[in-house]
Amino acid sequence: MMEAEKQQFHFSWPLFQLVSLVKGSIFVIFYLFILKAGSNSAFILTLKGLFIAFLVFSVIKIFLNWVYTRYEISETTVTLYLGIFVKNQRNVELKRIQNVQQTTNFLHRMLKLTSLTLETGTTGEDAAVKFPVLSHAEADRIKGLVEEAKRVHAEPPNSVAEEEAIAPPPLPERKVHFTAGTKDLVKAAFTSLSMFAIFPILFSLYFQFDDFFNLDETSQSVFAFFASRLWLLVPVLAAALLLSAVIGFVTTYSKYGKFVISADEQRIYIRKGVFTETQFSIRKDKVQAIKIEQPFLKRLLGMAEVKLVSAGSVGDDDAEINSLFPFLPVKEAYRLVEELLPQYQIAGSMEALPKSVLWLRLLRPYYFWIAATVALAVFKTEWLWLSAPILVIFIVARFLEYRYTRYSLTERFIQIRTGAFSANTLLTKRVKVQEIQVTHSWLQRKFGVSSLHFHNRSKPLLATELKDVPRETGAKFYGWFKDRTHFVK
Amino acid sequence: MYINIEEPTRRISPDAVRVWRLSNFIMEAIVFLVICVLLFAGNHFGWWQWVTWLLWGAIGISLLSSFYSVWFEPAWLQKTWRYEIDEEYIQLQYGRFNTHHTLIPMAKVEYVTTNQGPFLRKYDLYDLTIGTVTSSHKIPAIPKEQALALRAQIGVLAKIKDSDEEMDVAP
Repeated sequence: MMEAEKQQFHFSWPLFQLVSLVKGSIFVIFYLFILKAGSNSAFILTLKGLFIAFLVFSVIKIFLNWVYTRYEISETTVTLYLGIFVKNQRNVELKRIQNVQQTTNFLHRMLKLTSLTLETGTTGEDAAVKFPVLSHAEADRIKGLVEEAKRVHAEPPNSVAEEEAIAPPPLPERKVHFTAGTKDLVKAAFTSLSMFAIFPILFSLYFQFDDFFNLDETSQSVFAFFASRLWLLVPVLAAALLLSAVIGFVTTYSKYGKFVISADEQRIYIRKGVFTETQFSIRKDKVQAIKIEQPFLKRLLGMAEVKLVSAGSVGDDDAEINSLFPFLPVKEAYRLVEELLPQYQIAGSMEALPKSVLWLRLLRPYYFWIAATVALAVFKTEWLWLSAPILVIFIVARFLEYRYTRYSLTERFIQIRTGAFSANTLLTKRVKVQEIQVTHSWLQRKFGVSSLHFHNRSKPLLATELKDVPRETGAKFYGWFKDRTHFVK
Repeated sequence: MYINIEEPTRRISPDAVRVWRLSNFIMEAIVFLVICVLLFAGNHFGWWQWVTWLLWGAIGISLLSSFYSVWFEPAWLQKTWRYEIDEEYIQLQYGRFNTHHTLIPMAKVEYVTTNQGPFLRKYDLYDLTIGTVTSSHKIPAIPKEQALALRAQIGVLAKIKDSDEEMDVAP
């Protein structure tokens, strides 16, 4: 048994914080010390003084933080000792960790370091334990401890399984289930429309420069030049498109390149990114639900994105690391889910809504349309005709939504598919559902239907609603959840 | 019974009607006054015509909603509120036009609190708030002894947590 001892963060932690400090204030530096370098106005001088004071203060704080922060990991608990003047101690039980994220950005890579985030399922500031700078060996040690704690937790001390526990497999066999090839990346670049991403960037650059240097005159003369030689636009446009396609591919590649999904008995590992490498791992039994999402364009192209819902946070929107490769052909996506999570069974055939529900759905008030029409009538009377096509779009959307909605309620699972133009499937286990609600409105009672609601743990909370299922299904759903006690440990 | 389930049976205090009438009346009166002040300001400072129209519309809606939330809603809500708390579940049911049936496993309850505002105090009533991992629910207007007993009861029952994990299911 290894004794836990208080440890300091890696000595290069201050360096990382300094870099991010400089990064964060780069525009202020640029403005104060380059653009306004020669200015003697009292205002600018005060700003400069304040800014330098802020920098000095920040640098001191960074160093003190490093000096006073300690962490300690025992076999069951992570303890963080924080605070320079006000001491603060945080304990997090290892078995409460929902998922583990490892990010290695460019600077980490240069110094052969990495960072680690242990996510618990709670809300608030203390939701995650972050190790901003670690050596790879230390990161591996911590990951190992988290894994070990789970194993101890998973098996009660007096269980029959003790014999197996004595000799655990030294290295659980990890099998690669998916690797993104060039073909996948090209598809991803086109589907994500990242090749057009260059245009908004160019525009914003143009306007930013325009603020400093008066570009209008230059651009007008450029415009005049091309106006007289229209044929020149063809190669210029072609070059721009080619360039943006290349940039689009590079951004896609940096984000999704080296995308590998692997799994062993217990866990799923997702690894992605070229310059900044992120690794995500989640225990299979901590997966709260599976989402299969197809926005309009992906649905047209027969592609889908599978997301594993975790009780812990899964990074910023941008780095949604819980996503199995977002540009998978539908069949491939389903195959992956079946391979990775054999405990989940995706229902092949699901039930449609009763026919009468179509009339119910079309009958419901069109609030948005009413508001839009009133607004048009008041402000843009000449555009009032738009009201008709808007109504048509809403009716079509409701019709499609009705046609496409499916559900399946089996002994262990509930699966729901919704969407008018997009398509979203959600699959979860009864034991992962936290609470439920069945509702029915006056209008729904006239049609003999009810709505189902249920919550799953996630961040933010995953609340799912299925509208207008037969009232018998409502009762069945209620009873189904009430029977859960027979199935939960 | 529209949804064929074992419905909860315990009811909330009949005094809830008077408590809600009073508190809803005060809320509605404040909203009404704010709109009136805005309308006055609009006339005084010559705001756009459509703003004034909107405000008149808001006054109409406010009057209608006051009528509903002071006269009808409290009585209907009190009449339809049912709850049941046993070792395994908390069941809630309420609403006349929009009826809600809620089912919360006791093992998912994280905390339970009793709250009392000035109107509730007058009738010696408590609101019981039950918090879970994902949301919180309120059982309103319960007589004092019942509320405190329930709080203690839930406090004990909710200590038992289930693991979110499945037992080995027979195929």
